[in-house]
Amino acid sequence: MVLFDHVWKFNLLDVDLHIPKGTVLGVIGSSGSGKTTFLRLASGLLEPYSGHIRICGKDPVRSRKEISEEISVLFANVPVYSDKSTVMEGLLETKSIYGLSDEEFDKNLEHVSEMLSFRSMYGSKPKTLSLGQKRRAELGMAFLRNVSLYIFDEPCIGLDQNGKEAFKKLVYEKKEEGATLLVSSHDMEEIAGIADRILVLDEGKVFFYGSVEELHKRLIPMEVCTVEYSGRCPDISDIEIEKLTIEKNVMKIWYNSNHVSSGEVLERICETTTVESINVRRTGLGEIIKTAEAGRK
Amino acid sequence: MKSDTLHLSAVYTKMIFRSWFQYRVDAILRSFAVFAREATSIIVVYFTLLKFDSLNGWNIYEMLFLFSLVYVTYGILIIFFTGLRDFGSTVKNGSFDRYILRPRGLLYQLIFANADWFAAVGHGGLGILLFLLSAAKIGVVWTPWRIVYYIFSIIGGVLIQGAIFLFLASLNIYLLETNSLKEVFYWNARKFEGYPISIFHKAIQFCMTFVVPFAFVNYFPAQFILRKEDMSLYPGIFMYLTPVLGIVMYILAYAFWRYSIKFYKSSGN
Repeated sequence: MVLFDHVWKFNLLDVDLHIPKGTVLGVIGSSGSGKTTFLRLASGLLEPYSGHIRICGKDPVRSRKEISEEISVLFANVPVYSDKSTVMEGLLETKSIYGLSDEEFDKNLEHVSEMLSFRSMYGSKPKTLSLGQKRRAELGMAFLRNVSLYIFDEPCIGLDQNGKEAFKKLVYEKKEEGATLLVSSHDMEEIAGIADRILVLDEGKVFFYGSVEELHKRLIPMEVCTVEYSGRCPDISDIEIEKLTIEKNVMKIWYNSNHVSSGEVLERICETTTVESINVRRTGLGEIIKTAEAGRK
Repeated sequence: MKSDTLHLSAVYTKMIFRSWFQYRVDAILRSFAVFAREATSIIVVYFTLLKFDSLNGWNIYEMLFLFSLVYVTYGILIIFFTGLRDFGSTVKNGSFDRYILRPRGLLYQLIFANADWFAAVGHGGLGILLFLLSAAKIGVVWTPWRIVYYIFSIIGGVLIQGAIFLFLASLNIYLLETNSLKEVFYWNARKFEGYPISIFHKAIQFCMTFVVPFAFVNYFPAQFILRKEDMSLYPGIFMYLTPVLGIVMYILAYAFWRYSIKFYKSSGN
């Protein structure tokens, strides 16, 4: 669906990857890592210095008109609505530009406006809306059309929790319909919640590209098991762990899931004490990236 | 699904007129303000020229005829080329990227999404008024051929100025700031435009003919109709060149625009 063949542009260095159809790709990385450049290249707003990009088998710059029928984008610094028109006028402009039928327009608008709760903003000009309201209306515009590829650059900025949930639901719906979605965010946990593949960019290089599972396994496969017990302290001396803390009758164990499985840890604990409650947590994605980057530097 | 270009143009125009009717008083005042601002400068010129019998053989009504061509062409120009005139801010605020991401021609979107009908009414209205005031008093018999050539000259004059806007808009892609260039090559040059160029220094005549050819917007087309004596200073063919020059300049500016757009995509903004 999306192919980057040894692409060089600005600070992006030799990006070479393929994103299959139906993937939700989370693009993460620190500021200046090349996330926006990556997405602008995929949308056809930029042309690479060298290498090739193909979207649905076509060059997004040379086949600008055809590709723009197939994609829907939302960039932080590209206004979706004109300052002169109201939200509804902007939506009608899109309907006309892309030749949406009345039926398709009404049906899709009804759905996205319901999900994102922006119907009350139809008559407002975007500059009169708050950041969160504006973002809802912009997302509404981005999801208005049924396309093969959606590109979102920091889509959740300014959104409240309900807005973020609505965005997630719409992402899942589009994925179910077979669309591919590229979403960048500085909030790694947020991305991990929706993406089935992750692209980590670091100073323009691909630091990691693969599934969330692989990311955990390959980078820092750390898990944390918190056990509340009654009776004697569990004996786990024969298990390879990274770190252990005990406070009152709560034991916290950090271990590498590549070396020992959570099942083994739980079995061992249950054998040696009476367990009141137990919780196993994976290290957060943000924590993983930070630790990995720090380790590399 | 097949998109309909005419329908989209209608949507843009409807949007503009809807806001016209929504804020009717505001719209009328805006058009009137433009009309009054420009008319004031003409009134100042008029009273100044009353002190002279003629300026290099041109009487006051003949000069009002020159001014009428300036305003009529500019009135039409800002219907179609406001988006190019204000292209710098369109690039800066990211709206140009929005146009790139849509399945429509870039120029088409710049033209139709930005037409300034309100100012067009002000400028065009003044141009028509000046034409009506002057046309009857310049002693011209309006033969069908003259009417046809007058219309083609207006189209040519619009294209010449449109080409200047398009050229400056393309430069905007390479340079961060082109307002000063626009000031020099369009707005300042335009200040000479209402007068017969023969009254100016040779250097200004050269600039107005060959660098920023405003003389072809009104002076030479007016000479075709008025045949004043000072036309002997210039090749006679200049009287007929406006429509051709308009087309040629626009094609060249368009080619430069196409080339610059490629550069824009390879450089970002």
